Amino acid sequence: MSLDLVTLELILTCLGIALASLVLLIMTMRMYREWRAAVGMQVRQALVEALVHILDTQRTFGTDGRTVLIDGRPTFVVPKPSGAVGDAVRETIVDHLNFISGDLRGRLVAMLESSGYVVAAMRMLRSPLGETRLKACMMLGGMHSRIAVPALIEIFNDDPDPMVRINAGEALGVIGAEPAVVHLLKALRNPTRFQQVRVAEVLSRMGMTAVPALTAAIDDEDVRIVTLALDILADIGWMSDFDPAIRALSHASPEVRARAAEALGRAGALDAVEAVMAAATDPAWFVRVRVMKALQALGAPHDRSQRARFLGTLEQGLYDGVWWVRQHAAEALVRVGDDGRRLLARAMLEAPESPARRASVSALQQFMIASASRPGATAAAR
Amino acid sequence: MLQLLAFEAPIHLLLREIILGFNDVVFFYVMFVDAVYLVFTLLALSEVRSYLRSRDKERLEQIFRSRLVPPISILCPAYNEGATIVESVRSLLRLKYSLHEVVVVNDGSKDATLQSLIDAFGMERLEFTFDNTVPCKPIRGLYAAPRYPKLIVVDKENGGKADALNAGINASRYPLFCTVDADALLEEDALLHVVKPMLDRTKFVPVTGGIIRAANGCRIVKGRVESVGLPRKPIEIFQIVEYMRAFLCGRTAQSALNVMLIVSGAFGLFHKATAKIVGGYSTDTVGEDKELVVKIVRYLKEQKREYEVLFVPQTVCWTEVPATWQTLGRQRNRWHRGMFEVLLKHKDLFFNRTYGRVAYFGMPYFLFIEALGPLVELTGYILLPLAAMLGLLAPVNALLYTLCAVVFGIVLSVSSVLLEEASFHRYPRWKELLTLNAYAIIENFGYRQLTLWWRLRGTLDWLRGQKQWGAQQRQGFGSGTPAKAA
Repeated sequence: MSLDLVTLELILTCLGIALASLVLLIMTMRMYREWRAAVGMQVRQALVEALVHILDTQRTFGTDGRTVLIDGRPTFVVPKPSGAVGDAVRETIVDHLNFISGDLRGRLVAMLESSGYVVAAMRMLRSPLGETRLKACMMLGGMHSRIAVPALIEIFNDDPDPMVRINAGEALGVIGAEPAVVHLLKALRNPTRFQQVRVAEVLSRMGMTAVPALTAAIDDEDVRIVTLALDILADIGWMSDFDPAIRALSHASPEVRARAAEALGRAGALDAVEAVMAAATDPAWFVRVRVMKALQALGAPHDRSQRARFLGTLEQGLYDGVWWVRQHAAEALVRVGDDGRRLLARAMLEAPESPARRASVSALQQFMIASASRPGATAAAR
Repeated sequence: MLQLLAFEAPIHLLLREIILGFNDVVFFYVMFVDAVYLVFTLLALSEVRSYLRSRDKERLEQIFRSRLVPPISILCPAYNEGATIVESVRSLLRLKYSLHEVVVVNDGSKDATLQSLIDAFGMERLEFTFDNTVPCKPIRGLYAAPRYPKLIVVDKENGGKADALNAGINASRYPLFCTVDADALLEEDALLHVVKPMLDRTKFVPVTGGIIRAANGCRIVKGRVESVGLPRKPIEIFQIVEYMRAFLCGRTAQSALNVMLIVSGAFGLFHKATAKIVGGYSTDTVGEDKELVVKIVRYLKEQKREYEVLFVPQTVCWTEVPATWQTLGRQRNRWHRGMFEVLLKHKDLFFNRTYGRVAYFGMPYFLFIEALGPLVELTGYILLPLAAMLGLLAPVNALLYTLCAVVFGIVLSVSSVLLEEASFHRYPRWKELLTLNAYAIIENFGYRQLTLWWRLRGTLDWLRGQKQWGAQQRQGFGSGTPAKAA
């Protein structure tokens, strides 16, 4: 063997020391974790008791530095924003902020601002470590403080780390700052889909505040932005100004046309039903699929001539060359009511190998099964 | 013999040199392999910490409510899984995701798998046609449940797990599919985590996988792991430590190096179009899960596409690990045979420049460390005592060599417990932590040698051309009624 006794002993000693250190490290980590949890628990209990008074609307609220004044009297001193205690305080208050709004939320935000929690997190935004800046963005978003908006916009525009930028954008959205909408729309141009989804989710949560900017974005040159704007608008459920979406039904990109049809359907844009029906002859099959789904969502119009055209469009879809279009057309016809089901029954009389027949059978079968599970609907299904 | 070697004849000298030379090779091989694992552990530590720092769980859940995320089909092949199938499906239906479907493929079960699904979910037979791109055995029927619109059951003739998965691919509607074993339980946020890299990376991500953890010893209520605990049987605890080492350390590091070629058959997420292009699962191997990943990687390399195959350690899939030595032996035998089959089938990848680091690191790692490791280790177990007996090596030296190898192994096992404690901290009680540490130490005395034996048997069976899966025994999640599956 090439290794002598001394070398072997040395290797073994090193390994032994490594093993002992590992075991020690595991135990220390566990003890630290338990100590932190115990401290957090104590702080939370004290804070929750104080919050009962702080969130009592019958009492006046004020702050003096870290001291909380209830009815003008000092009742609670907020711990410093550092260490395990500070983390526990911030986490507890942020948890509460998710469930309250208006004046009560304002009280807690004011408490965080006056006791230095927001400033401490804003200081972290200047850290050279990306992870710290990212954490700071998340903390600031959670604290809902508008003081942080300018700093977050700066980070959102200039930070070298894309993850930090996206988190700053999210924080802006969570705070609900109106100037953030323009910046968030810019962020939709980010390369990865996940980041787009994250920003889209924040914009959806901002609701009606974001609608004007999103409607304007439908006319953007970037196809990705247009499709995302349509999706977000559909999520929000916008109620007016459907014209840009109707125009998008004749966009050069089939993806945009498909999303436009879907968005109009999901938003329940009854004014757009004629435009959606006109898109049923689109050359792209997946656009036709979305059109059939949109028509199903919109439902048959009450006007007789419009209703006839509506049924005609769906019947035309039932004989489409693509099975998916046929399937959705059949499902839409089932939901129209007796008129639609009559058309399906007619298709069922065709030759067994007819694609329209198969789609009709499948849709009616699913409808009957679904109806059977709803009490009182069995007779209607039959 | 001792006397013969005492002579200074050239043949005896040569024999002595051979034995000592082999001993050196084995020792340095073991040290090298352990050093590789140590590097893996350090890499995994940094990866896992950065994963945990970059995400907070609640936001992910909100984000994935969006309709912009791609829908997922969950494929669940089932063969004689009557004991666990209903609970597994319930847990799959409860997953948090904006849009997903569960496709259970009953692979010609001889027990009441299909009937228990029909009874539990009120399933109805449907007339339905679907895309048949990937070849599979004939479909006998398709079932849907009015009250569970996300659930579809495909009843087909028996063709094995790979064939069932192929049928599932055909029946699925969505662009991503996730394979889940019928005896596995996914955590509710599993899909949120496992799909994230597919959307988050600038490179194409065709496959992602999650961590497999042993459900034995956990409290499971209605298909959900209510509290995590350790089982009583040593065989199950050994596997928990083993899974920590293999997944938390091994897979995380391989993923960081982008050389991951294995995504567990129990839980993996795939890009359907790519899986279809490579022909779906191969039915001629028992390592179909590994083989599909290798085929996909191979295809993407040939197409010169930038890709990443990723492991997501936050994604947890709980599975029932074998509770008897016999079943465990059969499982390890099968895994080892599967590995050899895949390596042989794709032998042209080795050191082929077209395939980059997969050719220079991924495949050689599996051949020289995973597949051939047991053979080298066995040589060590024979030659070291032989050299000591023949007087070629002082007994103290032989003992120190053995101790070095064993202690290094213990360091690695304890490191994986440390990684668990530093990251996911799944076992919250002190008793469990101490037990895990104790088992990380004692697994090197007996259990490791047993797995070595099973893997050697697997090598032999592969050489003999055996293709059987071997019988499995399921206890069921808290059902108490064991069901046998052939």
